[in-house]
Amino acid sequence: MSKFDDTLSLIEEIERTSTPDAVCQQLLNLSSQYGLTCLLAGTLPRPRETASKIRDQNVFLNGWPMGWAERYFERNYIFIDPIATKLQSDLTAFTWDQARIDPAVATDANRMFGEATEFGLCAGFAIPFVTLEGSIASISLGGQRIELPPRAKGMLSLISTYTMGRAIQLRNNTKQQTLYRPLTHREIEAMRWAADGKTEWEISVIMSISEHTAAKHLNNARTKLGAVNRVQAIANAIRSGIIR
Amino acid sequence: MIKVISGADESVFPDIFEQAAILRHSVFVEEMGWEDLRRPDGRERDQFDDAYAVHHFCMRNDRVIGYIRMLPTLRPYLLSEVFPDLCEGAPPRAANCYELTRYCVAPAYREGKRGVSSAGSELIAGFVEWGLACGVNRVILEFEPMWVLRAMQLRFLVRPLGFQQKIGDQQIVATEVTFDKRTLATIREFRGHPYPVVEFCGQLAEQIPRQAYAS
Repeated sequence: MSKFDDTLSLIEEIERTSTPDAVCQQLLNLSSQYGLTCLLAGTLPRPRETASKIRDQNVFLNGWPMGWAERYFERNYIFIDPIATKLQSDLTAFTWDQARIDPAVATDANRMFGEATEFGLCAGFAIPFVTLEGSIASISLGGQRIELPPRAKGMLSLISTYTMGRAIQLRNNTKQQTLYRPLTHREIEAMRWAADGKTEWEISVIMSISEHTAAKHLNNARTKLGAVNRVQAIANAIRSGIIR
Repeated sequence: MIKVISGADESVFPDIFEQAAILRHSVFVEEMGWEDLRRPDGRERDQFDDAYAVHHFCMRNDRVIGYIRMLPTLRPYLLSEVFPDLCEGAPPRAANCYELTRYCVAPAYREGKRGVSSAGSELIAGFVEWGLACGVNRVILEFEPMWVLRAMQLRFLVRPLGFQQKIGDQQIVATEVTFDKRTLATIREFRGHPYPVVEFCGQLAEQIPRQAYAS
């Protein structure tokens, strides 16, 4: 297979992933051959954002060594990190050593780099993105010793773009699911049968419950899904991934 | 509103086509410096502006302030004729596949520093509406890699046709996006605007049944 066919099949695999961890792993499988064994993906936080908010809202994929992301955000390193600063200034990919250390924060930045080394993050490659909404996002890949030929940078950037796109899609899916109050297992099961065209009576027989209970499950699901009738309830359930 | 007009109808709508040619010249030649396209009359047009091109004009107060051009891939188009190196295999050729070129928005309508302007998102909503109404669901673009992420956020299925390359000052990647009704719904949700934006004019208004795009 040609290099390009490899790239295409990798993109297809990324799009088939259904969890952030799986997305993360797909990119790492590729980047590891260049020594890039860990990654962090997300959007840049607003100034003075709290560590817990950053973890919830800004971090999309956390594939850093155990404990490093926690320390990095608790100690507000993101706000002095030369790599994060460079991401905002020009929107092209760069290796970590190309990020200039601002003399005003040099002591802190050097301490941060020292600690990162202890976690096995000695060198890396950062790729900036701009989202539809205009915020800056990035994937930063790191490792102990990296060897990144120029040709690999282009391919890694391309695959990273698809990784980021998939990470955002997965986030939006979960966001939509949590828009609604959670449905019980029985309610979901009743909705699945309704989506298959079964009547209340048929559902009651299949689920071994009374017709009245079947109707109750469907009505509860409709209310929780914010729908005015059963057709809209099924549409909302499918759209938000609660049933297929 | 997006007026969609066939290149065959240029003589019916001379003023709109004229405004678009001036906008294209000011954006691509004067602003982006594509000197090959410079013309003494300040109107940008090329060999692909023929009767088969489909033009989308974004209108504000009867003025053209944004524009894209769609070319059928069954005929010669930019990727196949001008940039074949951007494509690893043979350039796609299919009735349901068009190429989008000359995307531009007048400077005064590019609000926001980095996001997509409302005229820009209207042009995107417009080409998807147009496609769904006339049996086109694949579009080829040669754009900056940055757009790949935006396209995925809008629920296009996105596939590169080759590796990115430097053309002039820009990194360009040839990409095919596939779309369906879900894509249109996502674009409308992003825009906060649930209604159709396209108005077919001239012969296209006669060819395409109104119910095909009114929903």
